[in-house]
Amino acid sequence: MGSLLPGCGEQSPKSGGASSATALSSSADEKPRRGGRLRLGIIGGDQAGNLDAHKPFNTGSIIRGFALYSKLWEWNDDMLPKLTLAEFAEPNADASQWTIRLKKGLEFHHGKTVTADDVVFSILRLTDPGLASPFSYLVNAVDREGIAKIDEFTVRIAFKKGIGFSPLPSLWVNFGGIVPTDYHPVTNPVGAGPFKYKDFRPGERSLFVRHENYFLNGQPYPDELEILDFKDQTSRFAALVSGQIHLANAVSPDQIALFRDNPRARLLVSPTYAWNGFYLNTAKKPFDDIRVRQAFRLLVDRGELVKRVFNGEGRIANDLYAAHDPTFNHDIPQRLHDPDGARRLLREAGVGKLSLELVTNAAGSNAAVVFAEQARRFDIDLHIRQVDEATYNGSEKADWAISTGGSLGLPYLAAAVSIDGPLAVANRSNFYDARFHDLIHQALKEPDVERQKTIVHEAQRIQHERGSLLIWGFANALDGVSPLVGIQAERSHFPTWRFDRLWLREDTA
Amino acid sequence: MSASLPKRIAPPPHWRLILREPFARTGLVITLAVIVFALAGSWFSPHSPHALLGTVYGAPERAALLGYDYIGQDVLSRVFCGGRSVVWMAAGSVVLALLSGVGLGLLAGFHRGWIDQVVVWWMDVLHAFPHLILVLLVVSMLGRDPGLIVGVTALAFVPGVVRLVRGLTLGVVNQEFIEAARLMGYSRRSVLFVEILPNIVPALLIHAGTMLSWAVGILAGLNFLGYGVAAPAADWGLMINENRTGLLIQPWGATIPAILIALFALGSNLLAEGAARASSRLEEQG
Repeated sequence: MGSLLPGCGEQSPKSGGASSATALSSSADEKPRRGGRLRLGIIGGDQAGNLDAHKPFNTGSIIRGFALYSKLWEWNDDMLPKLTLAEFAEPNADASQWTIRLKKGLEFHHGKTVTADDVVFSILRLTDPGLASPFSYLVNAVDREGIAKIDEFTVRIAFKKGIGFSPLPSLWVNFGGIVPTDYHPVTNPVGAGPFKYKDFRPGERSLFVRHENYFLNGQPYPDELEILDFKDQTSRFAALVSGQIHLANAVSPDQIALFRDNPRARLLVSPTYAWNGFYLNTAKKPFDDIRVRQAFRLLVDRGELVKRVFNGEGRIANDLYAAHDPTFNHDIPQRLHDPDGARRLLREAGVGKLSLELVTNAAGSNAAVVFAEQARRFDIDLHIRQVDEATYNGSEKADWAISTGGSLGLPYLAAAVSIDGPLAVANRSNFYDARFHDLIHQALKEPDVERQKTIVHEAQRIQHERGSLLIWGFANALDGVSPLVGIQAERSHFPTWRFDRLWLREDTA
Repeated sequence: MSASLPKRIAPPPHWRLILREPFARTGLVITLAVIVFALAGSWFSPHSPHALLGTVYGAPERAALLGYDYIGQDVLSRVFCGGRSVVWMAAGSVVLALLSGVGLGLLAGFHRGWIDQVVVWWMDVLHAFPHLILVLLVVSMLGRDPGLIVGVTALAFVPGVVRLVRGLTLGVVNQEFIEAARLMGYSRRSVLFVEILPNIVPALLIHAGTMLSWAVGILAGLNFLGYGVAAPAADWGLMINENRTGLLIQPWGATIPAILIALFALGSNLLAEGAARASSRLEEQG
């Protein structure tokens, strides 16, 4: 299990639900057992599901990708990228070029050796405008013309306009499955992941068998992996308790009580830095006034939001993302609930009774309801408008004065270039601060973490003092686990997706 | 005008006749009880339906007799306040459907000819869409405004009303008393609304009761699917959706609104059934 980050001083991974912390996580000396069919129940699988490494349509497709595809890096237990298929990956002095070398002897499921050609093919496919992957924006800084094969196992990558791009690993690790040059997501869904494709029925189930030549010796442990699609949390919980499945990822926080003292289904709690918050649009009134943005950050009761939206399974945040990043500025004091301060700032800004539309997707609706009730105490009327995912992520997103938001706990620069930094495609809050942008550009060019720290600390002070994000909490990842499964809690979002590490303690029907 | 008209074929059943039917009495009691509860409930609500008071899916206690919901709001207060939208929207859509459908149906049945063809053609087009699909389609495109939802739900019901009224009108329009009214110089409006309409009211009442239960189902379904009344509003249909993940933990948040919606639908159905039976009895008696 990954060690705690210095200075974090926060929750440790635990199991057993809110009431007990019994030994669910496998101990370090427990020897993994080979064999059996591991079954994972997921929510939200639908007929649109696919097996595409670079263009998964939904969470189910992303999870299946963890079984089929390996990447140059993977998230470690602390949600930082670590080398996997790559044995070497280093930027040059200004991070304008990365040199990446593959491990030798890696094999795809169909026996072909993984080479530089496959790496080049994979990044070109991910960024191909013809494929139109919704995730290509993560690596849109990559210059497709500047990708060069150096030798059989080495690739060099350059970036558009020669910019520095030090966070390449933490961005490419998402949806960066390395696939062979003869890859096809339907007729040849081949990767170098721990399991090989056997059967896939969208919206129902998918079956995978062990990749015997997986790059980690002796892994994965189960003979087979089956992923079953469920429509709702209640029926999936029943399946977990009855033994139909062994794992249920992303348990809804309001289901925690079901796991208390339940011998057949335990709760694995992984403290993550997945942030939840609100975008305060600096291009719209009243949030074009820093005082109003700061007032909203003071009037919010973060503790109550954590208690109600996460059912207590999370921690309050300080309007900054990526608190796990080694460059994070832990000296910035935690902003507290300050009703008087909020009222004073609103008065100074000349804001009387306020009526705004708060736009949310389904994922943010509970936070919207709780925050609207909190705002009501300040004569602020927030009308909630819940929109579907397509609208939420559509072209209107930067036009809403206030909207809910959240994301995986990415490292700092990866988050900045996706959310509110100079290269952000989805800058919902229209945050443009000259000094902040300058600092992010500097940090992108700086591969040395220690030197990056100084730059990032100043950037975070700007975000804290005049930024546009109200980040109120970090959520714990909650996973339902059968006692038959060997698994470890961690600080990432994916303990139940680590298919190369999980094992079954005994065979089940 | 001194001459009297021939006797009409089937005078509308009086309320007393309808209430002689046990089905109708039971239906009326249930429907009225739910309507009164929905309209007056907010006066008895112990807390604001939006107040964040307890723990997530907290168990019932003295301060919250039905426990707490998915974010710690008092379930009882939300039940008290959550019926108004279902009742007014269901009733509103039925009334709107009747107002527009009766007019169009009378016009088509009375005039026949090209007016009839145009009306019937448009109603066939509308009828091709299942009710819930039509409402979902429009609401997902244009938003969740309650007025819009009522309007579209009514629109979904209009073809049924038009067909019914047109068919009944075609049957009545050739009767002797209508012919007599025409000969005596009654205006077209009088013939339509004084002579024909009262004769089709019994069938309309039955259909209205059925539509009311359909409307309740559609609106509750719409709210359940997340296309109806939006959070944080207290609404029975929405409550079922919000609290369904807690069914195994704190069931009252989902089951009580479901029971109330079912009672409303059941009551209006029984009322319609009672009216139908009373109407048949009258016809049997000549």
